Amino acid sequence: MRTLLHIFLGIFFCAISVESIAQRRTYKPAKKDYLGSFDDSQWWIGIHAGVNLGKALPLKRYDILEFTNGNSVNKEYDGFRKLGVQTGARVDFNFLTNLSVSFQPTYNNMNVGYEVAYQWQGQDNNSLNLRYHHRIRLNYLELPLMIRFDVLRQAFKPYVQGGLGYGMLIKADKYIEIESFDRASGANNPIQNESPVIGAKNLFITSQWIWYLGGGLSTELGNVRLGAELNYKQGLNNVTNRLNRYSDQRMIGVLDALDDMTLQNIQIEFYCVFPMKFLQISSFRRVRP
Amino acid sequence: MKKFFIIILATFVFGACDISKNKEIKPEEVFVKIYENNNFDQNFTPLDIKQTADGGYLILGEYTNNGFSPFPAVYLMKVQPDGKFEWEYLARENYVTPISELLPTTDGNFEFFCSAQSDSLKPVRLSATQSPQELAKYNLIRGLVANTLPDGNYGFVSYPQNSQNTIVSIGSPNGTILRSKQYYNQDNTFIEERIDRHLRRVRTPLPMLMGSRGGNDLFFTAFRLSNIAVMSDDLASAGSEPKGIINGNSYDSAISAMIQISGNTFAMARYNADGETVFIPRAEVAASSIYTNTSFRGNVLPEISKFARVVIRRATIAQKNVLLYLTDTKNGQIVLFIYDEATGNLIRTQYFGSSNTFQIGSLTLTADGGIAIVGKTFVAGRFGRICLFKLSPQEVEKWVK
Repeated sequence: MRTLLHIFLGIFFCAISVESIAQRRTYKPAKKDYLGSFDDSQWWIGIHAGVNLGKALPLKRYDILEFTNGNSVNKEYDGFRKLGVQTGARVDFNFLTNLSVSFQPTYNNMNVGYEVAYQWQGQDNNSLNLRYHHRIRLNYLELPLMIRFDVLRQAFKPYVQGGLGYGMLIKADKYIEIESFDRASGANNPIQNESPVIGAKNLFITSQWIWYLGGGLSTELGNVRLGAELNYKQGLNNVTNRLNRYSDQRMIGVLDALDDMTLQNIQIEFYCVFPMKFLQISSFRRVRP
Repeated sequence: MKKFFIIILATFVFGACDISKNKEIKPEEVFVKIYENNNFDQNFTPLDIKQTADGGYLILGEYTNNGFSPFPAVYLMKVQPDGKFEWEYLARENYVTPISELLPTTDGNFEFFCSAQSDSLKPVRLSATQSPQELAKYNLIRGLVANTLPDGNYGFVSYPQNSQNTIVSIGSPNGTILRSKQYYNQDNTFIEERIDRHLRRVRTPLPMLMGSRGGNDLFFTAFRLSNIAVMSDDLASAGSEPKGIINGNSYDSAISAMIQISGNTFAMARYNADGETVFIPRAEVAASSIYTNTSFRGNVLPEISKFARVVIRRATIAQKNVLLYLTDTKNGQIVLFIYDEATGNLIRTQYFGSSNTFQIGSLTLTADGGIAIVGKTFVAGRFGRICLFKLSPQEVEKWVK
């Protein structure tokens, strides 16, 4: 809870700091610089939130279970299946008519997972089938910097955007859903069990680089800009902590060693931003670059 | 504006540092493996591990196969330096109940002793290869332990059925018994049951020791006056008395592990009649004195399994001579205690395994300065399988520094 508070305070102060820069410019006489004149640009500040679907992409496989009969462990990674949520602040700088830069500090909760199946056969039709669904919940503070291009100038503006960001791991945990079909113990149907949730932050490194690509639609209601967008993002580096791969004894107990992996995410976002530069006229109209 | 870019830049620099430190680790440096074969009926128990010349590991163990034999059969497995499975040998008929560790040979290979099921459980020396060769058989009925002696011969403890005598022998590499001595045991009822259970591994095995004290003196486990004793003797004198002895208390209390540090100084472990384990990292044991095992005071460790197996190894880690005590806990974990050899002070305790029960097999120091620990775990809570923990030299040094 404290971590969450710190993150929100961080985002708040970051936003205030940018806002103060923006407001300071409104009191300065208009001058031409590389970003254009006062009338040529606009700062927007606001909030955004949405949902996402996460997926882990294995780079190199590691297994604890080693088969002596020629079999191998088959980890099946989930597709974009498990829902996560994200929220944060957003600062856009519209420096040309169709071009903006957007900084979006985001608290991102994403869920990824994979499944492993095991089977034992013996005399008298004794058998045990186990399916371990490994679930990982990752919470990142992400700091993406995006460039946005408005494709058309109309009431509903379609745009495309792309960028690069840094993600800082705040929290990670892991649990397993176990499906067992234990004929040897008298079961006729599979039974579901769940392991306790364990902290898994030490299994991951703190940082990841991310690239973003997406697009959306925005519209303006008075001075407020509302928008919805769909983004795909992909981690650029392995997030598994190689030094700690075998250090967590609880992972060994459940026959698991994390693969080297990057993270992928598809996210749907809704945002609401407010302009920071206004013309000092009676109608209090914002600058429209 | 400047502030804004500085914050972003600082964040990116911090991120870059973290990622660049997360370097690839050599697969042979650190790993954990559990060896599985999908067989519902087989149960494997490791007893010893040694590193081979190619950097891989040889594991000696035993296995049971759903009533296949009253005794556990010999199992050998070779794995690659990174823990990947290479080959295994599952004895089918005659070779049961290993009675020694993996013993290095002069040509850089390994051999071991087991019991010949079809021949009164006589000790058989086998090469530790994918197809073991029988190197010698020793005419000693019901061998309980064997070990290499400094002169190249082998020391044995055997206990023929209903003989009421522990027989300690020295055998040559070609199978000839060079010297033997009998130690009379008054009891003939309980000991037979105990030895039978030991050989069939029905309960925790009896702690059978055989080693050299230097010169002609040996130390070994024997049964005497209805207790498990550790004796010191050169087998030269007539009669049934050893030169020195550490008496147990009935068959429930014993010295569970013992290695010589130098002269009369030993590192030992023992368990009391209630099964609780006591570590004695430095004990003075004169070759010709009589003790009871409770006279060796040490560190009582209630967390250790009752009547636990203990493996002790000497090692030099980070320029410090240490004693490694490996055993298992009541909680179902393998635990490694590291003691300063000079002072007997505890330096570090490290636990291995979680969720399912983990039990010890043995450990060996590796050529890169790390440690390899072999143990047994129960996969899915029921299938007894061999597990191997390879610890990196950096991690091991960190524990001792």
